[in-house]
Amino acid sequence: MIRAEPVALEFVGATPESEESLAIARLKRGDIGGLEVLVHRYQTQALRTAFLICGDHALAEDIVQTVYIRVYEKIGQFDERRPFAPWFLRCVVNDTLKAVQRRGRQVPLEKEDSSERIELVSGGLNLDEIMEAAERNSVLAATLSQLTPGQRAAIVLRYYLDLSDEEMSAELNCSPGTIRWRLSVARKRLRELLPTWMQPAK
Amino acid sequence: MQKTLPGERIRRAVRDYAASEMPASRDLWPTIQRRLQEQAGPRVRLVQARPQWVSFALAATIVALLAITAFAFSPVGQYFQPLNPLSPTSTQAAAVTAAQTATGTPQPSLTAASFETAAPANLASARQLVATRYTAAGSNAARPQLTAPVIATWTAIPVPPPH
Repeated sequence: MIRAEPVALEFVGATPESEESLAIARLKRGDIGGLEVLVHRYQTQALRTAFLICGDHALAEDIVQTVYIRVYEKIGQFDERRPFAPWFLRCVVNDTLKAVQRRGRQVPLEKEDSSERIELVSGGLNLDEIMEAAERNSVLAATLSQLTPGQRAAIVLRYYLDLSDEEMSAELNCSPGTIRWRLSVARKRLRELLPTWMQPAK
Repeated sequence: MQKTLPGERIRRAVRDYAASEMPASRDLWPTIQRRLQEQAGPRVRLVQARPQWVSFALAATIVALLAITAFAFSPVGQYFQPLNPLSPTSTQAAAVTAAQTATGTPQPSLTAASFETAAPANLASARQLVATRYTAAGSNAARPQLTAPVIATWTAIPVPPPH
């Protein structure tokens, strides 16, 4: 099951479950304000999940927006006794994989202004640390772009969304053995591609 | 055998990378709200664009059609339905003459309703024809008796003078 990232929950305060239930109930009544609560709760996690798989900022935003609009249209089919996050993030992962397959190409993950974005999230770091983070992220982006979309999805589900093998197999609709094999291949590939300074000391 | 990277190191690297690329300050809500309004907009405008009188006219037409249909299938309506929409023919005119001869009563006028296909030889045939048509129409209303006064009330056709 996909767990909510703590940083995403900080948006809405002390009682996330009850507030989420209320938001879903409002949405089922056609109140668009319920969707606003869900957007502010899960948009960061959804955007990062989509971006890690597709490597394209604009595409990731478009996918997440589209999934939210579909949530608004199909909320009547959602069983409110079940948690919202797994259902929603499964839609994000599947839509992102479909979008990448539609494009039929590996999307380059390199960016033009990485140092600027690093600065936004690393306000307390000195220049050396910022440059090191930018370099690390740039290398990781290039490395992830060498993986297949399926391997990237496996990495994201395991290391970003913290899913187990069984949960991942349900999300990606394949056997746990396949998941373990994909993860193993992806990790080996990362080790081959990442420079030695990013790897653990022997 | 080549070792794989430890999970915790990958986890930290992936999360740092995602956080640097997609800052938490990014807010999708204004765009989502605008897209929802754009989707709903054309449907709303389509409904609002239809003048109120068009709706009333449509409703009145539907009600009128329903009323006419209900009346047509009612016993009273069945009574008023024409029994024969055909125009007079020489065969029908001959049948009229035969009916006058059979009853021995001069008929000032007769409609073509009683003599639709094969010309009835006499008034009994005409009565049978009317009865058959009423039965086929499923009407349980009292059939008009094909008496001279009744026939006289029907839409008249010219009756050729007897030879």
